[in-house]
Amino acid sequence: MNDLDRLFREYHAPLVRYLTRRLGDRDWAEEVTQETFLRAARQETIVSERAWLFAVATNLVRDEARKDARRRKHLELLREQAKIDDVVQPEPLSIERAQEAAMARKALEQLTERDREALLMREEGLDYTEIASALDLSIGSVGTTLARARRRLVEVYESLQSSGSGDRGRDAAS
Amino acid sequence: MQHLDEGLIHAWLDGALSEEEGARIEAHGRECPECAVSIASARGLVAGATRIVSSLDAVRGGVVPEREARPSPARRSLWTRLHLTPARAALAATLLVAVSSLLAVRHDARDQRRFEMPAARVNAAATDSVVAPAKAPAPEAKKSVAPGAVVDQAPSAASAASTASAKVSAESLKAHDVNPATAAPRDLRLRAQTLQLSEVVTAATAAAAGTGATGATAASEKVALSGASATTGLARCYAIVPDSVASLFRALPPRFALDPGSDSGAHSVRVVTENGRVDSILTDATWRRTSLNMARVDFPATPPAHAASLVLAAGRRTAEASSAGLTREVNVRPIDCRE
Repeated sequence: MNDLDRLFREYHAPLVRYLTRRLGDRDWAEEVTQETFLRAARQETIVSERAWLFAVATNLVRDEARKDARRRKHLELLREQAKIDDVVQPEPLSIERAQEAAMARKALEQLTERDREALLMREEGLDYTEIASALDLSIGSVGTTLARARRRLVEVYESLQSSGSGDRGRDAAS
Repeated sequence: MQHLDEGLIHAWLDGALSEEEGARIEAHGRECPECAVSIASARGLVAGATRIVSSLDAVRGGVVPEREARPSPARRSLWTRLHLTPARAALAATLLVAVSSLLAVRHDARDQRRFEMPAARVNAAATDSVVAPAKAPAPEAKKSVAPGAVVDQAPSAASAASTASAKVSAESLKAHDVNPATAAPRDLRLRAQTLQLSEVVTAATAAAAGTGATGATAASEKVALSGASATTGLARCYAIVPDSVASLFRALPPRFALDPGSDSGAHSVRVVTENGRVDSILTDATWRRTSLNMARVDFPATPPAHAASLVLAAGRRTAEASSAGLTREVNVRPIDCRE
């Protein structure tokens, strides 16, 4: 198994999930993930793999992913072979969960880009050193960044929830 | 003593600090109540943010989709399926008996202007039961009524005495699509039978509250709830909405049932399972009525959590939670239980 295959197997799922959460679009997330692995394939040495991949994916989101048809096909093939099924599987959502997801999306959009990325990386299990490296932050400021991101996310989500709870109460009553 | 920095607390909770730094924060948290609150709050934020982020996914990791976790409709009891609480059933039964009796009598004795007729009253203890299906309210003829167009009927049990007796008038029924004055009796009887329970309950409680039955649908749940609470009090099942505020109070169980009891003294609190089954007694947790429609529930300390108390008001979706000098409104949802 070459290095790209190993990287793909190990990091494809977390990257797609991170990017789907970040972008709210599974196809786009897949595209950026592929582009990330293309970059990895071109890279001779990668020191901190996970931080590197997340940094590249994050930058690609910022810069808009570019395409590479040939490698993409190869990666699609790999993906089929790997039959990775432990990432976000689209399935019909109940109304309640769709509402939750929409509120979560809205709340997440209220965060600054850096706070949002740090939080989503943390949720993918990246440690403070990795987050600092991926986002070009000092390690000391990661905690503050995450604290601010979490507080804002929860506060906005709850305010959305309470402003929507009147409607839900009406539904429940009928 | 300088308080802990929020970023440092998050770093500690995220496992990003050395053992010594962690120990220092932990020790500080023990000595400084304000920092202990900050730590608890940070824990809540960490958990809350994770929950919110994972709700972005179509399927949450490691969580069985809710509809699979629930018992199938076939296995759910009639009580659960109809969203019946004993109180609602009691009110519904009361009103159904009253309405159908009224209609029957009107049909049979059309010319008679005033007459006596029996109505139903429901055993207060039974309606107060958390695990009620087996103790379904047994209607018992109690009070006679004299309706020309008015049914003077107390729709509720003893605790509702102060709510005053309800005047379920032909007018209020009309607002709920039942109009004994104009429709044919046979048709009416049918309609009374097919009337949604919730409408019956709403009609009864709205009338009891003197608000008339013309209120918008939006109010119906609230009205039904407060009507029910007036009769049954607070002994029922509740779920604490697991938001960041609730996570500050770690002694609070996600779901619990207040065991029914007499009107005074402390009663036990039971655990309610994820699928709404009333389970074992929650050790050392007690509740007592503090007024007609309020209760105080005390949850014991389960280290490292602090003991917490909850002040519940019937029909309200929030309750006042207190623990270690911290008081916040938590969101509470009355839920239907089964044995």
